[in-house]
Amino acid sequence: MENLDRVISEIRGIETDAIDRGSRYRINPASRIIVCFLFLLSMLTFSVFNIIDTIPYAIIVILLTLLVNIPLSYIFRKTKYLLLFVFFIAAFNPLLDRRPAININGFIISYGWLSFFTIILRGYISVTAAMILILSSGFIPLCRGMEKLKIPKLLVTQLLFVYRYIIVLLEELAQIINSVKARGYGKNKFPVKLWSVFIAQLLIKTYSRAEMINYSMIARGYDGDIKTFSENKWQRSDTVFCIVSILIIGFLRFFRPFVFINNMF
Amino acid sequence: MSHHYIKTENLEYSYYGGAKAIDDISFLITHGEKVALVGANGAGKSTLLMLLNALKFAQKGTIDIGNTFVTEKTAKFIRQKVGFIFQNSDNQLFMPTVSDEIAFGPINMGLPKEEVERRTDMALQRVGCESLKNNITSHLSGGQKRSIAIASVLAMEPEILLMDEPSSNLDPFSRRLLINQIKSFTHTCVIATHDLEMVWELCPRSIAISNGKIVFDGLSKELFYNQELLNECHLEQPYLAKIEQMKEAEKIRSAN
Repeated sequence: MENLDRVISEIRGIETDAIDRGSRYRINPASRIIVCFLFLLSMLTFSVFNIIDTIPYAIIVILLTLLVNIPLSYIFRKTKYLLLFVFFIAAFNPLLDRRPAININGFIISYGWLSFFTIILRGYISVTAAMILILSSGFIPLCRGMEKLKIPKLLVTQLLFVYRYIIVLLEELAQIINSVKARGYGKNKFPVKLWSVFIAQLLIKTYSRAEMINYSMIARGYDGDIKTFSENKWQRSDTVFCIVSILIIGFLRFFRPFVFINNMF
Repeated sequence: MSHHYIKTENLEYSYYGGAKAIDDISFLITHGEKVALVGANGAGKSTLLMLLNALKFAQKGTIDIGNTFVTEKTAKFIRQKVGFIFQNSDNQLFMPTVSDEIAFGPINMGLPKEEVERRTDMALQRVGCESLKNNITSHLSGGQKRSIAIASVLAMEPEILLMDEPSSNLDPFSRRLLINQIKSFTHTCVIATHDLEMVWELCPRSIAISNGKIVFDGLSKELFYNQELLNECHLEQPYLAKIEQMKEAEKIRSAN
């Protein structure tokens, strides 16, 4: 139950915390999306065996988490199950590709292991970059940014609604769990038949609350498009942010920091 | 005649596969009137308010709001004229910040930014919540949420206000603030409620509904003195009405 309460407050906190974090860096969400996309795209264009050139991307992501004040442990906690999925994608690479790639004093690392570590690192970088984007911009401003970038309105509205109604669903679930516990006399296991009743009740209650929210939106002129004035306009600082970021990404991709440093000495 | 009136004639509404939720309801509420809509749970009060706000449409009968009949075509216009404050403020507030929430209606009305900002400030001032402008809606207390829900409707500058159980789930202090706020409104108000103490203070007229039908339409005082009718509507005589009735009885006795 505490877990569920924590999840609800964390989802609600996305906007609150983003307002705190975002007020320090007045950068348009649209420009953040562009930079994040280019950052990930440039990383993914490296060979799957190239772990050395992926490391600078990880360093940048770690620096960003410090800059926007999001603890790495928090991101790891939130993404661990997703990373498990990435782990399973890469898990068979060491078994399938045993060609020797690097020999360090007789210790041979195969291409399979290289690609395994690269995929894990890339997965972690991608998820962390997306988390930074959401947690520093807020979900609603991010959707506004997506609209600005001409991403279909239908998709953006769906995302906004999922974000709004997931809280409704979780709140209803919390209520059901509470009432089950209150009359469960410490019993934690219930027959499957009862679970089907719980789930049906959850859907009915969620639908009914969602209907009321929809009515309250319609009553104030909602026509399928959530409009706000608080969205940031594209400013000169956004252009500067994009140019500087693209230069950094370009450096990471084409000059490759480790190769660059190696050539210098 | 002022345009701030509500006139319904032989209104009927049934939920799909259910009995009539609203059955042959006719009334006229004139400009500036504060009318209470009372009745047991499931009597049809909320459904009636939804019909008046063009959120649902009557299967029979007509609703005339300031010379505009409620139809699907006029729904958007009606919703601008008639503000609806929902029972559960949590369902009404869906934007991340208070200012976004209050600006939602005026923006949808297509008003320019300056006007939206003026209305937002005005609405916050009306409910005494100027300091909450940049707060996060989910962090507000129950009373504050109710005030912001009212402000979000006031910002649309409606001519008529519909309120569904406005005092439910409020602590006595917040309830008192709410009553004072409603007292200050010059709007035509329809308040669906079980809080008869509030009705006693705010609404000279009451409409009692039972099983979707109007069983009483007249002075609130008359309703509160009619124990049989109160019982029929699952209502309880307000304490203030009880004292008033006793005082009047005492007066008559001493006069005799």
